[in-house]
Amino acid sequence: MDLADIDIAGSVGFVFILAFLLLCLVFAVLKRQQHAAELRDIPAFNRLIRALGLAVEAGKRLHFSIGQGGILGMPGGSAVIGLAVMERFARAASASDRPPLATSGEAALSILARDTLRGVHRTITATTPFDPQLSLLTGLTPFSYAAGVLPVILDEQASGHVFAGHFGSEVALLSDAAERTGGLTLAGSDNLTAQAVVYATTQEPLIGEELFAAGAYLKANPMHLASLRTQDIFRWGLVIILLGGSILKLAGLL
Amino acid sequence: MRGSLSPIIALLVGFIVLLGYLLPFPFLMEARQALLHWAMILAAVALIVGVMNLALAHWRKVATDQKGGIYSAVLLLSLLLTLGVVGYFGPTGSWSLWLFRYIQVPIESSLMAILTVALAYSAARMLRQRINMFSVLFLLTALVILLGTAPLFGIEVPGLHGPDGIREFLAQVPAVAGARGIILGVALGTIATGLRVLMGADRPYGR
Amino acid sequence: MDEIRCPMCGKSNPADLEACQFCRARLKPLVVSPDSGAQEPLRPGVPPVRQITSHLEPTLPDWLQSLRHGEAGQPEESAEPQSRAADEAPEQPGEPEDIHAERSPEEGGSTPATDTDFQEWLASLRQQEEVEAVLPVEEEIPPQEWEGEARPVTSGEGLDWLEEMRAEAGKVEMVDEAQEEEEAAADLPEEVEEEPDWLRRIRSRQQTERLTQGEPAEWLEEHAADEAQAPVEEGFRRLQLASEESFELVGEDQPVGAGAADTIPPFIEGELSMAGEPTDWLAGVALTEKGQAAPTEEAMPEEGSLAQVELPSWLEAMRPLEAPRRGRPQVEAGQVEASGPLSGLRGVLPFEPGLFQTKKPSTPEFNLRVSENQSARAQALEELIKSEGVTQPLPARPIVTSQNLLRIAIFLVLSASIIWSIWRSGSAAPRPEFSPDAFAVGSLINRLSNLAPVLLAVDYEPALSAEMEAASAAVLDHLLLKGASLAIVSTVPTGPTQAERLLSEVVRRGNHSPAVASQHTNLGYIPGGAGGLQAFAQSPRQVTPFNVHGVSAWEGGIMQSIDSLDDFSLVVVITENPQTARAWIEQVKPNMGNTPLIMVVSAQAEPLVRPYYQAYPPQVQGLLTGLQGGVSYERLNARPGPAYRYWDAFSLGLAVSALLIVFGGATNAILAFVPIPKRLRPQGKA
Repeated sequence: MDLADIDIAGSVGFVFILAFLLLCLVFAVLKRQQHAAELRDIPAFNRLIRALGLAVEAGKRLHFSIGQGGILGMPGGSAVIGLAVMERFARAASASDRPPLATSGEAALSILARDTLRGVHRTITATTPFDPQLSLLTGLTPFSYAAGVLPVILDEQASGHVFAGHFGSEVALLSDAAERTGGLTLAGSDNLTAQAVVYATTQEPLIGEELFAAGAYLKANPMHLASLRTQDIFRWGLVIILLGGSILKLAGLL
Repeated sequence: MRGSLSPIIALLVGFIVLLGYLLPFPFLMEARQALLHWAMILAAVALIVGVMNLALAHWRKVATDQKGGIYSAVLLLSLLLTLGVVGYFGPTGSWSLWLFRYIQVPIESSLMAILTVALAYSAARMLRQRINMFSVLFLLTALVILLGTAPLFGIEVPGLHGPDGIREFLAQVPAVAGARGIILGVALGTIATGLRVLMGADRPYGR
Repeated sequence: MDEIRCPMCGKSNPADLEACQFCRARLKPLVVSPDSGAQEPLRPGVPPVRQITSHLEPTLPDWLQSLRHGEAGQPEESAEPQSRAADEAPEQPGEPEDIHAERSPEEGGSTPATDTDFQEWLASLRQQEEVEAVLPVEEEIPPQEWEGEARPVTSGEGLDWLEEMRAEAGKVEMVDEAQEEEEAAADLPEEVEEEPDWLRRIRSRQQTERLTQGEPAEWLEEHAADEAQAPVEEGFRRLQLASEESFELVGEDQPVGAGAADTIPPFIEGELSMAGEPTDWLAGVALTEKGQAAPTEEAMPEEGSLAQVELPSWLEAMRPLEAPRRGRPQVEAGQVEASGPLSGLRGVLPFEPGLFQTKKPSTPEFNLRVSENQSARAQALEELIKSEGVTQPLPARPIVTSQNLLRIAIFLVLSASIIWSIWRSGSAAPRPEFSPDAFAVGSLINRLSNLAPVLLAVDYEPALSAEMEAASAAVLDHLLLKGASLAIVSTVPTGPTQAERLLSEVVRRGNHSPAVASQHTNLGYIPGGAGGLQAFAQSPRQVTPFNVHGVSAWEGGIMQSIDSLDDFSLVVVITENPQTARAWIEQVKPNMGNTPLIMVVSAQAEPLVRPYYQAYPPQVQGLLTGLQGGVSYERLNARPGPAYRYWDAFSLGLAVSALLIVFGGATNAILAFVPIPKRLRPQGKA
């Protein structure tokens, strides 16, 4: 292989990924004792944890909707986060009379959601069989998915609704219906349109990449905290690069 | 055996695709291509599985006479009817287009229209729910964009409309810049999530 | 040699022994009579003998003696109640009555002098209205250390012997009853021959009672009614002296010693108080909580009423209202116990174990005496516990709420404005000027040659058909006018059908020839999102080998010259999703070479796509945004289409929406600072 065949962009990308990975591992190993108390306070997660406790006490359930983005591509990141949050709360809500309910708008995602809930069920209790209807595929298009979730929001005895995943503007219908039930509504998406919509319609919106910090705030995994710190470092790095490049461009040096 | 094999396969496949994308090695690129093709096939199969799962869930609802079973029955009938029509006439046949034009599009357009009402209502109540500087700024920006997109009762307001108006400036400068920043953050989060999956810290494929 | 039967184990022992040689229980009672030398212990079966107890008077406390002396001066009043008692008392069998009735002076019974004292005492008792006593309850006297029979005292037992005592004043019925008892005693089986006479008479009277089923005296019933109504003061215990004669639990012909009164065991007092059988030294005494005698004249009970013993409220509450109905072992009436402390008695539980089939005793029913407040609290606690396992249904949400009304109002205003705009003919809102964006797109399409292959990606959802079709119709119309050969593809499952519909509409509105319309290849749906797009970009033939009809797509017509994406003359992407737009730009564009990329996007995707359009070198060569871009392009081509028609309604709808937001926002901002009355607060925001 010659040097000319090397893709500069690809190489830069490879170095970027490698550095990210190494930093995550360093933080995961060296900073093992650090906890989420050092992170910036996001009230949405505090209220969500409290809503979980209230749901368990009241014998109600939590509803998780993990969106209609598949796992192949950019929406896959938010979908994985939604699954991680759902698993975290499914374990914590195992003491409740009603286990959490998951809805999704993508076929592969619904299979993963069911698998996640089944794994939690197997880990926690083996006395009752797992109910596959706890994970529902409500539609294959965004608005048919939203139309299928609306009855779940309005009819099921859910004390809280969490929308974490890839959504479009149809999330406004879901959050509006969830607000009507009076329970806690938390929504986050990687889609800018959805973020604007949830900012106006929900009690606790997650803006920007706050959705990707959910795992660290909910203590799902120590690696979540390590990756969040790595993200912060790289974010600052990008800021410096952007500002520096702009200044150099203005100065005519670039 | 199954518990330890799944993460190994996931890690291996993820690293091959990632490296094949970044490094110009032929065997990596071919492996990446093959794996991507397999992923596409699995995604298509997952779509079929999802449809079957949807039908089964609604069938179970009808069979056990649960609440809302009549709507599930309507869904199942519609599914069978559409499958029959499209399967026989093809996805671009006249009857298939008729179903799409006069049933699916109006239904989804109606939901979009309801979305308009819901957004207007939520925007009107936003200050009651959360009154702070950012909420006021949010509303003001929305108003400028709304009023600047089309003439206001037939009148184009200078400074608001036109290529030099404030609406164009807001849509092309602050909005783009903010969107770009959010996209960068989302991209970093996606990279972190993907690497956690590669390292096995996150297992969306179950345990 | 005489033998004494042990009261505890029932075994015979020599008479000279003090304690049983088998179980070491005392064989002789501890009571010492001052008038007798040797005392014989009370033996089971031996009826007690009436003794003169007046010699115990010096041993009484001073206050008791004074009470007694005070009652001695009322002989007239006592005579009348006695006669009335004689008239009213029916034939009621009762052990004390029998005992007292059968004791003659020769047997050591009461002398005429003591009878007078008794009558006086009874009269004084009746005059004491304040004297009330609680009827003795069913309570087992616990086994004591003294030698004597411990028998359960049933309710009404004390009243029975009172009746008999009153009857004795007339000495008519009692004589008859005594005769009946003697006859009944003669019928007793031989096993009870060793019983004392008084006990035998008790048994016979019980038998007679069972046979005759006598009714209780009226005065007894009245007393019971008064008792239920009489308030029981806690801590106040008054004895009703229902007996006009003394009763001594000693052996036959064994008067009680002088010093015995000082050492009267509390169990005797307790038994007497429970049975209502006072001794003569308790005659005429009403005890208060402080031990002071109650006034006699004022507290004289009414005729026919009995002073009751008042128990504390907590003890009173524990009294079972009903006797246990179930689980009582059935005992033969005629069976006489031959061993144990109850030997000689008839109708008692057998001493020997194993006679009955052992089984788990059934739970007796007891109805505790509780107040209404207590029962209400207990019921509330029970319901609270039960409700924990019951799923509470959600309350029905009201349909008509302020929120729903506001939503309906917004809908009506928006609908009215849009419908009015459509209904009104003519165009009121000025159309937008030519935008540079539209001009760039037009330039790119104008460069196309006839039958140029163009890749058309229809990647929008059916819900946004209105906007996207209005925005893209002009572009598609222009492509058809240029004679381009379209290859349609989509990453949305409904995309292929969506594309066919769009194309048919454009052909119909633009009056294009059907031949032109047929110059397209629908490659179908590409699964996998961005990954599928990348695979399609690298090898389109492999990813989409067939069209929607199942026919090979790359072997006929213009498609056979296409091997990669850069072989296309133009790529047009119609999408509302900014991420789909980015996926096409980031995954497909690198494989397009110099082929230009035109994007027709929704207004919501513009902020994310425009940087690619404005970048240097631009990754997107042409950009049309929403309805505004469609109108601009239609105006550029001078071919009005759907965007042109929607513009009036669109502009009016936007203005009305903005006004609704301003008005609603201002109102809610003001209401945010105004406190809402509690009754108006939304419940669950329904």
